[in-house]
Amino acid sequence: MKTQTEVPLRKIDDFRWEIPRDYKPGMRVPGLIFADEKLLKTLRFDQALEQVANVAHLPGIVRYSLAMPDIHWGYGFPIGGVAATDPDEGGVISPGGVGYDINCGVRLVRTALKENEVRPKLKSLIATLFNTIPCGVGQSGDIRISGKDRKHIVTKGARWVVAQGYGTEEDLAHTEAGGALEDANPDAVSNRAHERGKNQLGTLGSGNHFLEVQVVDQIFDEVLANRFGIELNQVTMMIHSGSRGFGYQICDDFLEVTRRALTKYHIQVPDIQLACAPVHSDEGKRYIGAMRAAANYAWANRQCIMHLARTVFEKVFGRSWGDLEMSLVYDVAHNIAKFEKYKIDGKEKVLCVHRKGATRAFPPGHTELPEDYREFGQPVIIPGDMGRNSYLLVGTSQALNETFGTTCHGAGRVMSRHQAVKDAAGRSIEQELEKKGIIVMGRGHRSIAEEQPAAYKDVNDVVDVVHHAGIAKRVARMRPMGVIKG
Amino acid sequence: MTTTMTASPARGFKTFDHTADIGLEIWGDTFEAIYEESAKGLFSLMAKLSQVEPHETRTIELKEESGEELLMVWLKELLFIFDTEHLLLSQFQVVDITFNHLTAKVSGEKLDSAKHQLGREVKAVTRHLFEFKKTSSGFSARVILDI
Repeated sequence: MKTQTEVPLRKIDDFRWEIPRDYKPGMRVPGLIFADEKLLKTLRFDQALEQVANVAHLPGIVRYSLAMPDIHWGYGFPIGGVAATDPDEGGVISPGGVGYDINCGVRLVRTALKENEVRPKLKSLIATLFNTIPCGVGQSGDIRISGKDRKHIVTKGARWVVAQGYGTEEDLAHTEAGGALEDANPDAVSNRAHERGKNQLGTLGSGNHFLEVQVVDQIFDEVLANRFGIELNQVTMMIHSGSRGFGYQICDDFLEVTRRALTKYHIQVPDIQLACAPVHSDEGKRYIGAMRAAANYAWANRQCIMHLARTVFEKVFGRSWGDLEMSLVYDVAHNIAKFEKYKIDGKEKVLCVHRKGATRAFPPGHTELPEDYREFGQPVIIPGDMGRNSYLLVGTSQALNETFGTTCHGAGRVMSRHQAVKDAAGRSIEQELEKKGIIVMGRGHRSIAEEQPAAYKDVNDVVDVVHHAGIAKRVARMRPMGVIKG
Repeated sequence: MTTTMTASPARGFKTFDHTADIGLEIWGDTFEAIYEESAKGLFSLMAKLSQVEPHETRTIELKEESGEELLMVWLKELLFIFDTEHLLLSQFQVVDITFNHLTAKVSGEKLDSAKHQLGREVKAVTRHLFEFKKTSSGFSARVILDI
């Protein structure tokens, strides 16, 4: 296996690096990596750059195999990887380009509360959230899905949840794709996926998933922050979860389907986890239909979790969530493939954009944005680690022109799970964070050790790169007050 | 980096790092040992196996095109049982095996977060760097689990 030093990088400017197309004979396009010198150093020890070059082999890939500054080693695709393919030029769809946790994503909820109003009740707030929202290994949700409802959830996503009384129309308007992708195909979903998903709606999960109560600690753009309802010292809430076992199973099922399709369609890829099928093929269409079902499940899941969290705030603060002004700022997908229009060589094309650990970042004026935000651009939510910061950014025209309307998605791991546990040996991460005013509750010390702040890149560095490269703009920064983890 | 090791040198498993995820290296003097040790490895990531008592038993029968595929499907099947039934498994016995066919008895108990110290949620068994081969002393396998 090659190390990073062997992957040639041509510096374009302080934030852009190219892997030349001639690095490997099968590359159809060059690689383009957004990073500064400091972040590039963290890439030296794994295979992420090699994976950027591998993705460039995909049939029908357009312009570049892209990598965001939070890139790290994944399966087939790097996490932080973006690839657009042209279905009319034999372009493929790859389940590995979306990932196991289909539509893993994040939402930001604002409140009318200030830090000094929440601080005295913080412990009870976090404990009540922890006891109300199922999280961790093997936890079931209270919202069970009957056979009849299965179809509604996978075709209507968060819209179905809102129709049951768990949210508002405004929540849907402030969710990417309105909380549901059209043309999800329930018939393409295996029984095993339904079985894995049936008790997991409204559950957070484990790993890097979390619910965080935060305070806005810096405003970069007063006007935009105001438009998104964000101000200094305001308390916000961030929810990070995905499609749970339902999505994992769909990815797994279709990695097998596309693995077999490689021979059928004479596609050669340098890594079996890049298995793919032409967008227009039967296998490709079935995956797209199933992936959309999982994306809808994930939006339904985050809507359910937000509902549960709103009821907790009501209980703890003795006011209705409406009175607490707990509206959804925005919800974005981090792991998804979408069909979007772009101008390529002067011609309008509908491309299949894979975002694997990357966030859509559409500019002001884009027709896919809700009316109340259209003039300002799409809110982009970037979670960081539990000790430092998270960000609210906004999409830009530069992103639309250069990265298929995409920017980074988070901090990105820098320490393996074992390293993190070893690093935390003899320490209590919970106590260290409590000294900084952050209450953390999780199912186990081990998972908290694995998710400790030092295990991640500093999200501030990642956001600096996308801001200076112009593929998103800083609006506001939050810091954690309390976190629940799986 | 080695962090977990079972006692017997003839068979066992250890975990290794893979940035955001965890890999298992499994070795054994027999074909059966690879299946049994890999299953232990999988469940040791989710819970402390010494706390899991064998109250419930299931029989699993699988048929695949090759031993490699059989190992992959075996681990996926066990993960599916856990995810859908919340059954933590701690004992695994291969009853019958050929190169592409497996019958096994697996035992454990329902997950109880008051009793079991829980570990990580395994999302999937991946094909990334997956390997199952014959060695001079028996067999070895490697599999990476998405966490």
